[in-house]
Amino acid sequence: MNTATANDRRIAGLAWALCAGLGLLGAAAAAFPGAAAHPLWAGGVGMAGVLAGGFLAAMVRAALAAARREAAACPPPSAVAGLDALCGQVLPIWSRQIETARSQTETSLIDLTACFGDIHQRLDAALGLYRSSTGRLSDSGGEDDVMAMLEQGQNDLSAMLSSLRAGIQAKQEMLERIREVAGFSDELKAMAGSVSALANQTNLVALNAAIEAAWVGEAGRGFAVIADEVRKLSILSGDTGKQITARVDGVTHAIHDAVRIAEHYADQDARAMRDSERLIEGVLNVFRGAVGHLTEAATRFQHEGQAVQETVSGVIVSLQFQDRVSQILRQTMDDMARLENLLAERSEGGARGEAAAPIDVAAWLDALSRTYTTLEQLDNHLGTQSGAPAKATEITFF
Amino acid sequence: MARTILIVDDSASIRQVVGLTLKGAGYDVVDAVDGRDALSKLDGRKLHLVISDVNMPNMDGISFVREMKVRPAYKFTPVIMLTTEAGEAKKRDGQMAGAKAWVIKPFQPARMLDAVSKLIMP
Repeated sequence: MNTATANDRRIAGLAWALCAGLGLLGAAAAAFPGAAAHPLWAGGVGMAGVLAGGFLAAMVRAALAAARREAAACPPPSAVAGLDALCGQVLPIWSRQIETARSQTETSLIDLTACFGDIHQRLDAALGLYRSSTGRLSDSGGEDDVMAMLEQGQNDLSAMLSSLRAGIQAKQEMLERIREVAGFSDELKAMAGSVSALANQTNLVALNAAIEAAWVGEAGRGFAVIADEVRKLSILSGDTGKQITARVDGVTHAIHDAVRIAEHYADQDARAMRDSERLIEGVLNVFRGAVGHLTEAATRFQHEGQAVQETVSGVIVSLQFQDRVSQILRQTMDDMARLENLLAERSEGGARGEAAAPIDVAAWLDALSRTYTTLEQLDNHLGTQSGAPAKATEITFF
Repeated sequence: MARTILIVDDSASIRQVVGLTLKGAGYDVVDAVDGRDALSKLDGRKLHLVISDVNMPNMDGISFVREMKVRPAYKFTPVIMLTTEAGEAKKRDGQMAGAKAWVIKPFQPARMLDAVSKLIMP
């Protein structure tokens, strides 16, 4: 039932009750003992009161209805003529426009999210590949592992050079021993010379003994034989001494040749050693430089990759604000639809001749505030700024 | 074997972002557009965790969690509510329904993964 109509009936009812009461009071006064009036008169007064009350109530109702109609026909000065009709037409259009913008934004953001998700996954894969290629020996510090391998190679090569040095040193010691042997050959030569000299002197002694034996004659024949044998032995000794000298000369010559050749090769070994050290050091330096550059580039790649990954993560967080925007727009559209429905109802009521009650703005706003899901909506409603929305993930564990 | 997480949200972009985050960490993902759709996904499959929005058409997240918790197969499946709602009353409703955590959107992928790894069933 329309509120205004109910009020009219209440007021008319009161008017009727008032007149009927007056009528009944008049009838009671006429019927009072001592009154001069006839009881029939009292009943007539009461009936007249009731009838008058009914008539008055009907008149009041009619007057109030007329006033309502007049008020509806002439809106108060603050109302805008045609506003309801305009709102009824424009609100659905606004709702559709907002929904189109919301759905288009959502579709685009879904595509954007997919793109950034793809970038994120590709970066993940690239960084994973980098970690596995540089960190084959361990999970962390791949560049350190490469440097460790280089150092290991350097140590191995140094050990090899040390072995070569030890070999050369052994050769040098052998050469020294050979030089000592060459020294002994000179002594042997001198000793062989002494043998020859002794043989010569023995030969002279034997010769003198033979001469002396010849002087003695027959008696010295035996002595002459001995002297001759001694001379022969001295000649043999002299020959042996000469042979020893010749052999010692041969050996000495061979030893000197060996020493000369050994010294030649020792010089070659020393030069080869120095060249090898320089070469190895050079190669290691080239590797060290290459590894250094590679490591620097790889580290930079990793840092840049991580930075891009963090940026993409940030973008993915920002993209989630679409959900909040969507909720705010949906809630606004819902409220516009609510207003549209109210206006439609009022319009229908007006067509039936029912007067529209004023809109309860406070109740409307209260109902609106109860539909909010975000702090921003409440802020907008109250005209405050609480700092929403939160930038970091807020997690409550129960 | 990868563990499976059900994502329930009426926003396609949120389902996508949560899905990307979880798949990137090696989880399998099943998604639903609202509480009613999510109930249809509770078909006996093993779910190690559920992440659900609160305000959704057809059936809201808290009603969905209540319905889920009365099913014996999913009684002990942990639930994370992921929502824009920050009101304490709503949080209490979520806790009473059986949720284990309340995450306010937008979320940081790393922090969401931390919460998931803390709560997910073995």
